[in-house]
Amino acid sequence: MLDWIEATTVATFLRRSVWAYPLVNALHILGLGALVTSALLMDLRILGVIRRISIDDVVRLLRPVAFVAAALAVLTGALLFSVKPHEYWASPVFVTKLTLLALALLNAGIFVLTSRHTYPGQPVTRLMVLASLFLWLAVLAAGRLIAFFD
Amino acid sequence: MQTILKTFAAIALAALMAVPAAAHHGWGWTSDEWFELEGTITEIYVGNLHATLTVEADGQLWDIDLAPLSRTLNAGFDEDVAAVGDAVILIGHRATDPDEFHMKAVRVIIGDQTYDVYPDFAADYDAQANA
Repeated sequence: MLDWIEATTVATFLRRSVWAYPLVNALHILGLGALVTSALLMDLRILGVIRRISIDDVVRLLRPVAFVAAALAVLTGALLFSVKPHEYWASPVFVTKLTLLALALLNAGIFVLTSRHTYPGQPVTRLMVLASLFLWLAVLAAGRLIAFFD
Repeated sequence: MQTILKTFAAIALAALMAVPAAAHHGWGWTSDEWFELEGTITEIYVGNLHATLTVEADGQLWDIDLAPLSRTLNAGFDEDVAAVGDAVILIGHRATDPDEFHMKAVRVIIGDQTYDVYPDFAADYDAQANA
């Protein structure tokens, strides 16, 4: 599987491209920045730290942003992964990041499907919001650390 | 709730700042001393994120980091200018940790060809060697 990814046309192209790789890298940062920012703002609104805008308005504005940003981050992340699949797969920091990402997406998915934002006062909601805050920041930190550990 | 948020913020900040000195990127993990390695190429990779060589010297395999792709190509170095089995001399800086057989090269010499993948640092090396 990793061999197959490594041999794809797009991976071969990105490996040798002086401009496309940094561009994909920049789009990945754009995606994760928009995703983490919108998730944190929704979390802070639901916790009541931000109050001047209604929960409905915040979610209506930022949830679609988060979806698009997540899609962009995952797509560009897959492209970056394809350049050195064996190296990333062997990296404990990368695997930690993927695990945290899976937990963050699962938490967000359940939150959305059960319309948790309509019950902001419930302990389950607050727990999931705190988990969201922690997990997204942890995904971001782990992602940044990949480049600094073998 | 404010206390919890402050705790989270503190954890996040600490995680972001806990980037170790022995980082893979940049020069933080290398010694300030110049280092020269002579050996035989066992692997060549010229691509993103940066170009790398594996070199065998006295029975020891060394990981060599060259420059990022565009810098390495600008220096004239590519996968077709050398072959596995070629003798190579590398000038640069080795890992501060003596148990780590890892160096970052500013200059690659293969046969009578010299490739300065970090021309400014290679010039510093020449200036110091001539001083």
